[in-house]
Amino acid sequence: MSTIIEANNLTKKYGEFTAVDNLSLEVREGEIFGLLGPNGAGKTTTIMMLAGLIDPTSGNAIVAGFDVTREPRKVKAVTGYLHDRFACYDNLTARQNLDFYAQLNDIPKSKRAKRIDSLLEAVGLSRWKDVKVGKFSRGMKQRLGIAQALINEPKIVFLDEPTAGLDPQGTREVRMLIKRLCREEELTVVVTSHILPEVEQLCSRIGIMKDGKLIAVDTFENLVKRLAPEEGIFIRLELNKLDDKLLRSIEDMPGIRSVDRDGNELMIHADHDLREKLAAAIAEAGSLILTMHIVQPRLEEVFLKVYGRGWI
Amino acid sequence: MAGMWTIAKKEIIDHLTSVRFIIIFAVLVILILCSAYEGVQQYFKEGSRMLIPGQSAFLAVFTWGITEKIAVVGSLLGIAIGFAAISQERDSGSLITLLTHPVFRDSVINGKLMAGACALIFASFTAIALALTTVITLTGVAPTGDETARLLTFMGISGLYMIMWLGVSMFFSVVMRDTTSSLLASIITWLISTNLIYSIASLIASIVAPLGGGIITPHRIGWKRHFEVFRAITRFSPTCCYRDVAQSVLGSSFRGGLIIVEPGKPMPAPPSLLECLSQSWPEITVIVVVLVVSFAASYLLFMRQEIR
Repeated sequence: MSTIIEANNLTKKYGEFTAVDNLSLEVREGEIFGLLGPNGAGKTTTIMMLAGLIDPTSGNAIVAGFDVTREPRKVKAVTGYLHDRFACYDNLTARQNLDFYAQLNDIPKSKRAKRIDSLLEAVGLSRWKDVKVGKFSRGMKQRLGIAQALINEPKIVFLDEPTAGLDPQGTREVRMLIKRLCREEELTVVVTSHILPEVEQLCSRIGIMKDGKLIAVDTFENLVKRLAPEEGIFIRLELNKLDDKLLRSIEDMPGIRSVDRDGNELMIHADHDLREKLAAAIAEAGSLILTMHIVQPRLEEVFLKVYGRGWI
Repeated sequence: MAGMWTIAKKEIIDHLTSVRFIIIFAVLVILILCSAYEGVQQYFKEGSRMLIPGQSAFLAVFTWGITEKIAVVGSLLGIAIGFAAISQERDSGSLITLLTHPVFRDSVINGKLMAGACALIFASFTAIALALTTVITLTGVAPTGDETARLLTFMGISGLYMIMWLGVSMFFSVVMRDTTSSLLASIITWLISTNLIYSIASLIASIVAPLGGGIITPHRIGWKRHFEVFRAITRFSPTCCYRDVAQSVLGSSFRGGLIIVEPGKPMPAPPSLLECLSQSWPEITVIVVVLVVSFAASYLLFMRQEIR
């Protein structure tokens, strides 16, 4: 996979305040990249710079082959952007709004209607296409915002807190929509969020921001390993029968830290993945495994532990 | 100018279908029609006695009250279009959405000014044309060539004056934090320009050139100086300037209503349209300068503003 976004030492200062501090980042084509961090960590400022909306104080970024400072319009032409307080024109219908944005992107009239219809279909707003946006719910507006960001068939889409302010149903719909569209439209997506499960569910790689700095970039699993190596691994086991001898042999296995028993269920805390050894020991003792799986430590718990501050 | 026409087109439709615009426009039209009707009735009653010597009866009938309606309500129409131009989009968040698309920032503000100007030209021309139709219908008299030229000039000046208010209110909509403050600033400016300026001018004139007691005659030096100071101050008000230019163009006054006729001497001939315009150029300049300065300032500020 080739690199589609490359940021080098991006810095943005507002007076004395440094919103983004010397941030370097690479995003690969076709991935869903998540920027995670608490409010005020500089996530929005970062993607606004990447989308050519604000000029960096120093540093530069190449997005889809264009320099964000020198060619912001070209960057905008090949990217889509949904900002965290997305709003369009309440006095226009969904279709009129999209038509306006399509015209701004110089989409020829012959193609506009078709593109708008297919986008409204994709985001599930076909039934409401001739309803004024002022009457839309928050979730519907957000879905229209996603359609708006895709109007120019972009290569990259920036989504700033796409599920902020939505109810659980709306949140679920928007997440599924992002995943589906990303697959269907072959997009690269950069999404910011302060909601951990969201990033965990959506993103192939995650960048963690704190006080304007990008402090870690990796896959979710690697981040967990790296940020909390001492966490170890949790294995949940359910057996058809469990006697004291088997329990002791498990407890005595090297690499096992602790074993909690609840009837025939066990929660095992180990240094690393011991499933094969466990299976062999259980088979030897004549018991059957009903279920066995690894329980990921919650990313949230890892972060709370590492940074000692509330995130959600 | 990527996007400018698209934005202008959308804005024009927005204006012409907005309740705010329609209501003020309707009020303006109704007031102007009432003035036209009143003017005709008064002329039927009073005849040429109420004309300034040399004044065209048609224009006199036509202008009684109409200039004032445009000076006051027409300017409100300009403000109604401009005060929310940028601030409302900034408040709601639609400005960022707009700027995420490949448009130049200046296209946004230019498009908005252009759309507002078109809507105002449409409004002023329609209102004045309706008044003209009313006067022609009621009197059965059609305007002469000179009168038509004067009326068209009057339309142009009125449009320019309303666009100037658009520029001023757009400036506030860029500068002020939110739409409410922008509206408030525009209204205060409007109030000073249309009304309070007279109190301010009169106060300053009384301090700088006190009148003293006794009978006021045009020959008294103090009176003349007082009047000059008063006029100089009112020149700061675009509304006063508009009133002067409009009156002058329509031939209903000799430079701001002050005619000094020496006994025994003949009345001076009324000035031609071109003479009127050349006499009024300082006032026209004030209106144009206010428009250009306020727009240039909004433009520069908007281009530099951080969006967040």
